[in-house]
Amino acid sequence: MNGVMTMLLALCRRDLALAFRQRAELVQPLWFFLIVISLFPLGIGPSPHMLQSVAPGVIWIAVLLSSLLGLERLFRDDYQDGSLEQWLLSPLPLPLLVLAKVICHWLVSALPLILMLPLAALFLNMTSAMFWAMLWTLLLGSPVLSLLGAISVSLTLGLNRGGVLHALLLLPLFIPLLIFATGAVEAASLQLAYQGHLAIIAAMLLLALALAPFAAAYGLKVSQE
Amino acid sequence: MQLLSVQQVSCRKSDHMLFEQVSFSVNAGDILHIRGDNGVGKTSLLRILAGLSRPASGNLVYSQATDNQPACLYFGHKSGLNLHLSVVENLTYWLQIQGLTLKAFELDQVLEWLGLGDYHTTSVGKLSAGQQRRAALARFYLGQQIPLWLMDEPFTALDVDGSAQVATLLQQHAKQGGAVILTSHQALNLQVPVTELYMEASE
Repeated sequence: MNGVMTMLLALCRRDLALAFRQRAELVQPLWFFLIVISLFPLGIGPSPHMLQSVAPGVIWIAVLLSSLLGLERLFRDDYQDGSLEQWLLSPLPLPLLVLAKVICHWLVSALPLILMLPLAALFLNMTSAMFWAMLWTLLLGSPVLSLLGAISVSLTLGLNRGGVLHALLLLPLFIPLLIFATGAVEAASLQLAYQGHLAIIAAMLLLALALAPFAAAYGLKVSQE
Repeated sequence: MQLLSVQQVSCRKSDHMLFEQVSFSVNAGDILHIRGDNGVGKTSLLRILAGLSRPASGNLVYSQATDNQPACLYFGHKSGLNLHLSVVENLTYWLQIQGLTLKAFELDQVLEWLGLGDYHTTSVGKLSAGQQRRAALARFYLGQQIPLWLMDEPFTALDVDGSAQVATLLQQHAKQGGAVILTSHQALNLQVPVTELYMEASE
């Protein structure tokens, strides 16, 4: 057990060090998020009331799209340079490896997006109740994006170009999440309770947490055939 | 002492049967040289032995495998080194993720010996192809406690000195009770007996 922890920590240190070294790549999805958010007031008019009513959907869709941008980073380089081969031979259980990679990926790609939420909330004139609801849905929902994304990336490693395929595979799967997340924020804007929505998102998270590492681990194994 | 036993292993690539019913066993001290033309399935066989791909049929038995260290050390066509990390970082993380222990002086010594002493902090992407191969081969110096070594074309892109060093390393490992299975198109000039396995294209 101790040994497994050491291996996982080493893996996380490696991924975080790499992320820090490739900062420019990490910033791209953040810029994308900010630009999409700021296009809306320009496109549909700056009426504060209008912006407030579209805010939940706009922010969530921007998060979904920008999460797709950095997704390939999860396993692509490791597959191409052969690191993945080496890890498959290691005594480290593969689902745990996937989980560690997903957590690191979430830390460097989703967490910065969430940290930019106050700015997005200002742009779109969200009330403070909406802001808090949005924060909760993002905290619970964004790990689902990374977990499902890991399955998609692991399944498309053998293909040369996975880019658009991820969008086609994943976006339909994100529909339930989008519905409940925006529902929660809309409920908050009407001063209604939104714990029910959060509970359903949390259930999705737990389901993804339980199944995705195994599915992605299988995908990684198949990628080596 | 038997390290690996291969029983009736077959490999299929799409509809084509690459090889069928291959059986052999590898004991401590053996060096097995797999030879054959391009495309007969040497790399596929090695990947099956490493456990990276599954055979279409047949069994592999690793007699000495334990839970807390890898069953074998594998060196393939891909270096397994991240281009953005330095040689030292790559090797250190690799050791830790494999569950092997690291001694700092060992790593320095190995890099010195491999002629990479001046490149400690250079990112791997800036090294030449041969230097990258050397850096990848450093794994074998660091993971000597793992008995079974699988090497796919270890001499490619290495200069004369490098090839000689790798050859010395193989012999040392065999003498210390390890076993090496390798593919190479060059004849091996080793002082220890080498078993050769010829693979021919099946019709």
